[in-house]
Amino acid sequence: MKGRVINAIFLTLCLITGSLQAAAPSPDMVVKATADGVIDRIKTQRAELEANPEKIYDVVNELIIPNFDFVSMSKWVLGKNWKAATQAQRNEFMEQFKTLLVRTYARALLEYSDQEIKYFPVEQKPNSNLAVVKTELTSSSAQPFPVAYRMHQKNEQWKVVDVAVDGVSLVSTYRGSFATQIKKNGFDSLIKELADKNEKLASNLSK
Amino acid sequence: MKAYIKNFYTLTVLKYPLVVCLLMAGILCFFAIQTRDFKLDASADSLLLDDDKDLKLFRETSERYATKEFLFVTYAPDGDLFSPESLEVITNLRNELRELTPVESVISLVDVPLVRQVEGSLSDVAENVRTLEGGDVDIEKAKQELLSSPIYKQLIISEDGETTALQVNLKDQPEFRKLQQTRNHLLFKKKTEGLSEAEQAELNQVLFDYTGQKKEIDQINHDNIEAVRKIISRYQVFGSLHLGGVPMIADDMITFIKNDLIVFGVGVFLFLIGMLTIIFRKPQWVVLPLLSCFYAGLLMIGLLGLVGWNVTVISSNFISLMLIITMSMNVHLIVRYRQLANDFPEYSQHDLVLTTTSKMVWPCLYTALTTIMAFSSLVVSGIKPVIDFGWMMTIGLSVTFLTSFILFPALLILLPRTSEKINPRDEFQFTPRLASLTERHGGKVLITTLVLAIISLIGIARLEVENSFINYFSDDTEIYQGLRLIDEKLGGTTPLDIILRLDEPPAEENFDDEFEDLDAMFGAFEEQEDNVWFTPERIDQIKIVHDYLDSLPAVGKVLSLASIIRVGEEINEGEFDAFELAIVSKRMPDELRESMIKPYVSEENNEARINIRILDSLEDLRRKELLEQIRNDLIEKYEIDEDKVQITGILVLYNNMLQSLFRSQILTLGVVMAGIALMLVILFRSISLAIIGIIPNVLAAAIILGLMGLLDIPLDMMTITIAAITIGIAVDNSIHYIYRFREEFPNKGEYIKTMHYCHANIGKAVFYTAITIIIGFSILVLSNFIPTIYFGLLTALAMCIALFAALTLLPKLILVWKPF
Repeated sequence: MKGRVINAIFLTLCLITGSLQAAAPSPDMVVKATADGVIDRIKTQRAELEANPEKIYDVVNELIIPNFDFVSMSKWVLGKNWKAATQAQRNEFMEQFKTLLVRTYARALLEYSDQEIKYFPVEQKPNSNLAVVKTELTSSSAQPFPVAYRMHQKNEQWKVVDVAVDGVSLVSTYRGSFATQIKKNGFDSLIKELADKNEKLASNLSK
Repeated sequence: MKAYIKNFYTLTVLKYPLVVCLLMAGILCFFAIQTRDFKLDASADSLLLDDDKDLKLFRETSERYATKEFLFVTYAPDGDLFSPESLEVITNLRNELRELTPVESVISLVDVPLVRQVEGSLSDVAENVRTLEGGDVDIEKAKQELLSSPIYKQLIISEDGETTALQVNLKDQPEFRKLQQTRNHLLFKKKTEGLSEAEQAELNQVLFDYTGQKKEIDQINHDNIEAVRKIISRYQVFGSLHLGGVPMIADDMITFIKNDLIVFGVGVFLFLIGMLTIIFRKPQWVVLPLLSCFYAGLLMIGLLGLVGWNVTVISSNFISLMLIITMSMNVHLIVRYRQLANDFPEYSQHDLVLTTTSKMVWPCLYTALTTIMAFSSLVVSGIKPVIDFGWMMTIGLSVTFLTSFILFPALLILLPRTSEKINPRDEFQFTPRLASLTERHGGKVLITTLVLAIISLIGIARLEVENSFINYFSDDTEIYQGLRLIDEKLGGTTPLDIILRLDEPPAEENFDDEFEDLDAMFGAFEEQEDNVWFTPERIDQIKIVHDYLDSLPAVGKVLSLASIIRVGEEINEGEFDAFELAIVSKRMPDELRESMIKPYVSEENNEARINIRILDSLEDLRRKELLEQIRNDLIEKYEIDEDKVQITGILVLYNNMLQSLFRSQILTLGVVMAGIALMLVILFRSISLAIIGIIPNVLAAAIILGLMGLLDIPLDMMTITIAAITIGIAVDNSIHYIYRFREEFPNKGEYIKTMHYCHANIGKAVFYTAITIIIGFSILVLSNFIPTIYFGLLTALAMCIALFAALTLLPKLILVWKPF
């Protein structure tokens, strides 16, 4: 029973992570190239990563993060609270939010073993700068795991602005949660909470 | 009126006794057939009123958070619980229990998933879930994990790690559950707002189906418990095993009620034979009253079967009480008949029977009415089984009276006139001695009364209602031992639910141009749900209340959504954030959702259920205060809106019952005293006689209540009936005595002389009947149910006191007051 919970968490995180790399013309290419690059790195550096798990952060930072548009994500995640925040608060939030994603998903990435990624045709309206790339993660031991990337084109580059696992949107989920927290304890408290969580994640990983 | 009764007897009972007897035999046959529908009931239904608001909430909650019925088998091995031998015993035991048809599944120590066996990353853990049965397990680690598990500690393993429990889940009965829900709904509506014709018809059909199905299910349950017991008994060589769980308690209670009915019935019957033989020493005076008793008892059982009225643990002694009262009424008739036969040798049998019945019909009717008054006062108690008991006895006593005054004389007149002479020296000299005592030491009688009254008042002031359910059973019963063990080692016995309506998430803000809704831009995901219910805010609210409840000393096991979430978080090594939680809840396997989420969360009602168990046997547990504390703390300390907290569960219902005991005691006592005083005033047409008549009996009741207070015997559903019943039955002594005194006083012309005469005559009848009642009630000691034992002993003692009071205090009051 507990095993399934773990499976769920693990697979989820893995999927969100296992992706995205350098600029390429079409959105699905971005996703595929990133995923291939990450998987390749993990395979070649397996031993090193097992000895020093924190090295996975470098992988994430190098290969994945550049494909995310954190400014847009932060705006969407915060909604009206973005407008109300000072520039310093915005910067601090973006930093912590990014670190949160890096740390959470780095950990999941370490769990990668034999999953395969299946790509569906890109959903994009003609001449639109928006696209959805749908993928499915399959492994021998678990139910297929749908992961979708919402992307937009900015400065000729396709960047991810939202990830959805099994229909659960990262941006909408965090938006609800952050809004409640800000309403209850204020913006700075949210930033502090994120920072605390990031620290905990970091120390858990290096244990 | 008197002439009418005389005519009735002369023209019917005494003229055609054979016809009357045959007619009554016919009636008996009819009711004898109905006895096949006679039923016992020990379910919660039999204990609670249908219009109880808390019961309604309890039922609604049970429907919303459907949990399965289960039995518990506890096992404490002689050696180490985690030794290979013990684990093998558990595995074998589980396998055997699993094989039983009504059993759906068994959860045991050897098959709960262990997630702490492998250190390392999530996937390592995920792929390495092991069980004790599966092997390749570090036993010490497994022990530590289970002992600290938010789910399994105090559930399948005791905190000391020495006792384990196997949870035997029983198959669901969806059809019966549906029927039960419809029934409850309609019954509540009937009590509160009334039913339309169609609804009443539906209710009748539902009740019919329900009764039929319940009988079947009870039987399946009973057979299953027998089978489980058989299995357990074979494992006793490996350690100590007990059976527990609600279905087992209900089933055992049925067995107790059955035993009580049989033991009391047979016991009282045998006792009556002995008693009648000793008192009258003539076969006819044994056979006649026994026939009356048998007739009244069987007819009543048939009547209950006919109207579908179930006997509960409280009313299980109604048969024995009826037999006792029938017999005491017959004893009065026999004593009077023999006295008349002795005093008027010229009377024929016809004259004797006619005089006996017409002389005795009024005092007996009155004594029957006062006793009926006593039992019918229980109807105002507000406690369902006590109300049922009151009605049953009320009807039963009417049957008793009619039997005694129709069957008894009809049979008696068929017999030849008695030739026995009463030799006063042959008989007990006890009552004449009490007459002398009253004459010589009357002052001391009054002083003793005063002293006793004062002590009683002190005791009454100390009366308590707090009582553990466990204390209802003697300590050699399985119910007691099982409950005690679960209470002490496995997280407590009495369930209580805290239903928390959670804060709604803040409404989604309107998006302006810059922050457009992503869904609007990209289109929603196929499997997207608008609102993910599992948010950290909701989980936090639950966790806070969960931890608060866990911190209370009277609370044992706490289970809620927080339990399973914490298991996940322990593996995750940190709390889930919003996104993780949303995915975890989305990806949760159905089986897990069914067993660990649905019982604790109602998403559509935005509600969480925190299920706790109370350590019921805790010495200084104050249930009412505990419930108030929980409510107040949640509202004041944790700032939860008052309308968002609901507390429900067996503990609430049980506490309501306990708290209503005082009120019920005062109400029933008030009603019975007022009713009987009024009846005495009407009977004697004298207020002073009414007061004199009631004082000795009120004293007897007061002494018993005082004694209970002084001995720390708490009031319970049975013992609150003692005072009313004592007054109702014991006042018969006063009525008979005063009635006779008034009859004889004009002949004797002097108070002292009349008193001596009365003590030697009616005093003896009073004495015999009182002894009958006292010993009769004492037979209830053979019950397995502690309140019934207390009821029997204390009522017997009360009757004893009432007898002494009636033959000392009552005549002394008459001598002092001189009311004639």
